[in-house]
Amino acid sequence: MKKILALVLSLMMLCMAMPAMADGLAVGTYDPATAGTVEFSFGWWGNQVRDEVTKNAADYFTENYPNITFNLNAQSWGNYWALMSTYAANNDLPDVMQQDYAYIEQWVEAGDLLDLTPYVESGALDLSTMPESVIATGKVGDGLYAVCCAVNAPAMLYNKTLTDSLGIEVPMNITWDQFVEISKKIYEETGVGAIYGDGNSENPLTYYARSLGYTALWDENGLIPTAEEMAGYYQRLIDGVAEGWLYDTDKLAGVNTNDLAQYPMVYGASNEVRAWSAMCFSNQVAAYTAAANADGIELGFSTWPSTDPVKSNYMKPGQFFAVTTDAENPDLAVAFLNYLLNDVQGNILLRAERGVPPCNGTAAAIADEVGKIDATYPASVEYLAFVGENCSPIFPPLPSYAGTAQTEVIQMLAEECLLKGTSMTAEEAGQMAVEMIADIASSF
Amino acid sequence: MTAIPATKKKTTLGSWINQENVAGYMFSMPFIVGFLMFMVIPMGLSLFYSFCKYDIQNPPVWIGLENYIKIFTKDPTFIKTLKVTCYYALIGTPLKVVFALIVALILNHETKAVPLYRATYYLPSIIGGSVAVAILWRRMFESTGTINALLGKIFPFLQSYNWFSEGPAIWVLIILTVWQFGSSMLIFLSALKQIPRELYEASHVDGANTNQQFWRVTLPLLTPTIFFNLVQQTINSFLAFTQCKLITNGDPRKSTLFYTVYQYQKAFPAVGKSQMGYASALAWIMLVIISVVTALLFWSKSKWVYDD
Repeated sequence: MKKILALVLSLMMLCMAMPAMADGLAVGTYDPATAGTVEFSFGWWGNQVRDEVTKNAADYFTENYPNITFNLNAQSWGNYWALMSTYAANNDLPDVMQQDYAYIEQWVEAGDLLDLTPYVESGALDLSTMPESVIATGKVGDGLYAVCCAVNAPAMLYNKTLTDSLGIEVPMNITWDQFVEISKKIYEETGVGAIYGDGNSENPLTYYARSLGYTALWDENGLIPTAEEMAGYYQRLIDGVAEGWLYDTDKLAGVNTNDLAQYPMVYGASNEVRAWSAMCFSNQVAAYTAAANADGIELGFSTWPSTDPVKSNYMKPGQFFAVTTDAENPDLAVAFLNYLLNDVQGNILLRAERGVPPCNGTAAAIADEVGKIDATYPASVEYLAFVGENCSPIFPPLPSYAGTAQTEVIQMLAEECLLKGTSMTAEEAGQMAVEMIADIASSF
Repeated sequence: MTAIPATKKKTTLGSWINQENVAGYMFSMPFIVGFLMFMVIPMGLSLFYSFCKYDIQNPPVWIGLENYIKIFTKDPTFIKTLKVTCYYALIGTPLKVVFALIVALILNHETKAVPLYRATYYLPSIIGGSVAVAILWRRMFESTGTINALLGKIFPFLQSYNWFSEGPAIWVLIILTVWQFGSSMLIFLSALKQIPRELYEASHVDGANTNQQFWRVTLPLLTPTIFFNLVQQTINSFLAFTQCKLITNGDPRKSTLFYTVYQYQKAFPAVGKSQMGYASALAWIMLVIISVVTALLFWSKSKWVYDD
């Protein structure tokens, strides 16, 4: 187990090579003995399992800092950003907030995150066992604005009970053609469909663009792949719907793909509303497994389908913690951050639910304990080790227009191409994607 | 220096507050403060933002009419949501009002069970706008939900009908609004009680049957109430939010995306930057649309509403 961990962590370094850091001012450390009673807020997005483990870790923190009352703010991904931006407008952000690799830049530009460099130098924030390349993922310009708290990778989970019963073997590094073949076979024999490319995220498109040899889907000016290349992606959606095995727009509207516990892979009374797989990230395995257990099925792991899985795959600095500029007591916020990253007992309570801890020391110290509590953890670590050997460097953080392009263009085109009997051709969709996104990029 | 004799009584807090105009202001203060804080100031701000590029996190930047121009020239979703909202309002509202009237007529009898029925039928309206009902509604109409289970018993081919596909999805929302007919029904019931008995007696003497009485007496005298309900419910329909947000969230292909939800998505997107300025402009356009629709209804009033 520890060997695999060491491998994962060293591979992470290779996969996320980025520039080094700068210097700053000296700052204080928080001493609970001299401070009065304080309220401390912490906000994150996640799921029920994450909410529980985070609460446990916060409770344990108060054993050493008894004067603190926590104000915990757990949200779903869908509500989190909207809520946080209203807090930001009101200068009322939580002291510590969870951040995402894709959005850090936009929050730093708005001046909402605190530069942590001085705290690293004073020793209040100990990043000594975190690889330099992982630290660098939280940097914008010269400042360190967020600290990676977990590493994960895209993962395809599938209903192993179902595939086993049909005698289907789902390979690792599954290619697109294999995915189509398996999906067809399952659909023909059971009526269980597959969900791919629905409007929820641009991740499948990024994955596709990377399989063509690009590092990222977009840069400052718009999409990197050409209209013809984009058409190749949309053709997959149109073909899948025409062949029946892929969930079409109408069918997607009838199921809940936003709530993990109700995702058609792990929920649904009849085969027509079930899906055999889910494109997710490795840190969602614990939550999906809990839902699968309730449903009475076993889950299997593979990578997302791609014509070139090694080019497509990447290790992702999963989530970040950042201290906000609204924090009333930054010293305390940093102390809490340090606890979340380095405290062994705290990390056992967190159960590596967000992903494998990026501090080598912490990851090694908790491996056995967490493996005992959460049976999926060793499998996740093993999976990350596999991806580490079969991946390419991650794309840079998303340009600031990406979110808007996602909701206004990518989602719309996915819905059109996934429509049964759609009048849109893949060429039109590819052309529209390139033009509309370039338009959004230029007006931002 | 000689003391000036006190000609005026010293003003104490008690006497000051007892003055009639001060007391008047004090009593209306809760409303005035609320009106300023929660109506006038936010409206003023949103009018200002509608001329700005504003993402909440950074200060607003004045861009003049750009938002409005973009809405009218470059935003197909605006047209689409407007169509969806009008469809919902123009079909849902009359259906709801007619349904409320029919139930009110049925309940307008003096039997012992009537108060119970009235309360029962009013219940959906009280719980209607709530999150719980929206979620329940979604569950009921799911392909493995109650509705299909019941329908499947009678029409087996409907057993796994997808209510949330394009076309029927908007009807799931319309059925919900029609089901919440309670408040209109209560207004109709009280209006029915206001109709003078003598008119029925006189028409009876003149030989009118029940059917004729309804068309010649009841309905004309109810037109002011129908008008009131229509205006009220039309405005409510244009402003409907919760049902759409929780039951369909605009899916599939924005075919159930209400104007207010679109506005919300612009202001608070799940990913990406807020477009609060754009959303504010959308809100002001909606205000104009509702004003026009209401004005049209009032203009039509002289044509069909009986006024004595």
